[in-house]
Amino acid sequence: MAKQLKRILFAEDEDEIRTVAKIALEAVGGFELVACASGAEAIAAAPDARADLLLLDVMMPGMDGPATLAALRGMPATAHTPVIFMTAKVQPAEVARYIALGALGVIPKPFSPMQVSDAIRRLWEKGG
Amino acid sequence: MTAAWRRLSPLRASALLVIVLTAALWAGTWQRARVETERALAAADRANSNLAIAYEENASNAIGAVDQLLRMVESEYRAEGHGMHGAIDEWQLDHDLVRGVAVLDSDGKVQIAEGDLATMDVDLSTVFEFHRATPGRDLHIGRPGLVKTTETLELQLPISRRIEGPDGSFAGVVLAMTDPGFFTAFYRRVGLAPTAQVSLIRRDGFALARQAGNLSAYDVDMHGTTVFERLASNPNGAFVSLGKMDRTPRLMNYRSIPRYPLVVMVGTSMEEILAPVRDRARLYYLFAVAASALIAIVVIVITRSLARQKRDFEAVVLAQGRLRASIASQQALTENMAGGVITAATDGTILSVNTAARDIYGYGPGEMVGLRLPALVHESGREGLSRDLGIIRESPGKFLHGSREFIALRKDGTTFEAEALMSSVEIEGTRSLIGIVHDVSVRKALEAGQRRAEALYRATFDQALVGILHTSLDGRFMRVNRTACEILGYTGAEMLARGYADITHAEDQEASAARFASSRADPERPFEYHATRRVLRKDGSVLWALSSLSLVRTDRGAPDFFLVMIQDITELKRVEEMKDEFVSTVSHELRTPLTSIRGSLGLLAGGVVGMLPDAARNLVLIAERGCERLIRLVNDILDTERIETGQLQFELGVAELRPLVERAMESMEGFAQAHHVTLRMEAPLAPILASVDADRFIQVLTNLMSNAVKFSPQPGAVDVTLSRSADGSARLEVRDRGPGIPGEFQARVFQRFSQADASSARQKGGTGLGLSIAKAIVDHLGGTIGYRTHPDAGTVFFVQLPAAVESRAARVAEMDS
Repeated sequence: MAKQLKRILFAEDEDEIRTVAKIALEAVGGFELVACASGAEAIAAAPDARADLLLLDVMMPGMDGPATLAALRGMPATAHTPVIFMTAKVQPAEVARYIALGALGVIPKPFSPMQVSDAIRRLWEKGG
Repeated sequence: MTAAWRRLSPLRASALLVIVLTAALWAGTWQRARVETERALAAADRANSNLAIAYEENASNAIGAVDQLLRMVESEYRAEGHGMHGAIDEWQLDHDLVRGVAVLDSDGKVQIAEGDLATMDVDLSTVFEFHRATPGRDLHIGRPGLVKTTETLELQLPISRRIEGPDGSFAGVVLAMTDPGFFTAFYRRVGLAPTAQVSLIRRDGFALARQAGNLSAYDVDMHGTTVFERLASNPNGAFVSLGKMDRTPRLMNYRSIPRYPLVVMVGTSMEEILAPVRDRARLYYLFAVAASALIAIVVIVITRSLARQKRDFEAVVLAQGRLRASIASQQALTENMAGGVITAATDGTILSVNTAARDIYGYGPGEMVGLRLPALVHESGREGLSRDLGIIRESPGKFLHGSREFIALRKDGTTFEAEALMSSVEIEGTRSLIGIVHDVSVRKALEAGQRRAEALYRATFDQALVGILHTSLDGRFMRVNRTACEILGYTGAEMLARGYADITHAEDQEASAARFASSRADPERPFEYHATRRVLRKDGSVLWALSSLSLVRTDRGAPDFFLVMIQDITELKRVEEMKDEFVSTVSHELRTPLTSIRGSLGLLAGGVVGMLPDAARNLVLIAERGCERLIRLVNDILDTERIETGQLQFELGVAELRPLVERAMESMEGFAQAHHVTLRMEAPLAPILASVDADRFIQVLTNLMSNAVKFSPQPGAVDVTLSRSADGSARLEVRDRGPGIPGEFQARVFQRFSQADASSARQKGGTGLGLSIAKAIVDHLGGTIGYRTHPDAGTVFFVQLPAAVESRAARVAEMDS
């Protein structure tokens, strides 16, 4: 994708993981993060987020990752925004499901904070 | 000889008999004839001899009478001188014999003359001269001479004697003239046959008188004749001669008269002697001929009759022999029949049994014949037996030939199940019953056993809690049990109208068909297939089932049918899914805090939130390493769990291996550095492809490299080699120069949680799951994993992956490079 990857809309229900991810992505990766604690929050934040990328946790109470994505896809701002899922559930079948949902790829948890940004960039460029 | 005798045919024997009998007959006849001839001859000889004796006496008496007369005349002369007229008459002059008497004085002058000598003039000079010249007073019998009598010329025989004076000087002759015919009158007197002959012969060889038949001869010279020759040696004797007079063969007997120099000879015609014998002989021979003919006829007749008898006899013997043979073979047949053969009369009396029958019923030899059939049958069957016997007796045509089952009764009272084939036959007007009996207890027991076995099988088949389907080789259902019907939702009849394809999910059809085909491809290999698969029910719903398929072969090894067993594992699957869910959830639960920990520590160590004092940084690093280890453990445990349950999912794709190796090495770089181990890679430039799940492949490599680094001496090096084998498969080798794998551990290398020793495990920081996971992955990729190890020389772990078909992309890449 010719477009630069700058802003990421991030949904993760675990506070601590959100904290760590935020630091990793912002300080190490240099991204601008809109971090949400739930799928609903992400939906609320989506119109104004101007996200280049959606980074969604899968296992979230209420609306899980795929549901959140579905909802976001129904919104003009995020209808076509690329999405990467971040999750511990990375069996090939699950990954295939995410890909089927249109994801660029999957970041497995636990991730390496120092390398996660590069991984995301790689996926972004591959998706382009 | 004996052999020749045996070969004597009746014809030859009878011919021989005829010859022998005939020869005997003729010999006997000839013998008889000969004997009779001899007897006749002997008799004739005796008769002849007697005749000769009689003749001899006759002649001797006659001459004796003449001699007496001469003595008397002489004595008269001496006494009276001459003049003896009529004196002779006193001395009974026999006119038949003596014709005349005369005495001559020494001068020859007739002194006395009587009879013919008185009347006739007879020349007596010869006689006179003889006596004058010859001394001796023996009676001299002269030779017949002719004398002229008054009537005729007669032949007369002088018989004379010399008269001597006291001094012995010649004093004269006294003589008598005899009729020689007297001596042949014997012939007539005795009445000899015309063929007989008498002769009175002087010793000096002259026959005085001879008569044969009507022929008389006097003064015959006998010199040179047989009698004359014989006389030389024997005074009496007999011989056969050919008559001088008439050439007739005669048996001659001669006797010398003792007192006078005379021989009498009597001859009987041989013809006459032998004629009766010849007649008789002829009769005998005729008889013999007749008898011979009769013998021949009789013998022939007898022989033919005997031959015929013999033929008839032989025919009878042959027929008897054949009959015996037939009976023998019949007996042998019944004897050797496997069943007991019993023949009975229509009243039930047993007529004959074979050995097998006796054995079956437990009787000894001779004990069964004479018993009645009901004795062999348990009372439950006796009515039926009576009925059968009744039918045979009254309307045999209605008797049902065939087999009957009944309870049989042995001699000892025990019973057994029996089967008998019964038939009624009529032989030469007599009807009897023939039965072949078999003890079927064993067979019944076997049948019962078989039925039980079948029942068991049926029960097993029907009531098994898994669905069992016998499927034909082309996939049609032949037999199904109730459970199968329940699982699939069809009735039995509906099932039998369907096949395997009907219960296979559309997506699985091709694979299923392929499996069926491959099952038949190799006739040698037993075919079995187990899988968890989708199954279509009648209502179209899909069921997860555990299905096993195996090919059942006939005794001869040909494919017979498929045995399919299906188990509804929906429940099981649900549980599996739940478990999977659970594991997944648990792992997620574990990974969540780990994410925080790793993230924090990583950021801290990376100096992202500020530089840490060395000691602090050190601690952070320690924590980070611990965290990494924990993450690996969680991953390994999850993988192992998935391997255990077969849940490990792979995403296979043809990939170039070299980049994957590089990635693995990259990720190990830090770890290796920490252990002062250098990682070296060796790989050809040409792409080596394999069908792999990239991540899993890297996982394997990472595991192997991790071990290699851990066990390398420090400092050390680990070599990773990628190559293509001769068969096109990809080969990966990871070599370390560590202590090698200890012998006792080698068997457990790929087992879960196995490590060389517990202490080194803690030291080396492994989970013990790495190699088992690596092996599971390699197995799943269709490859092999192994190692070569040598103490103190290190270990090489190798992975061999099957060659992959080059993708178009790869080929294009190759062409471009």
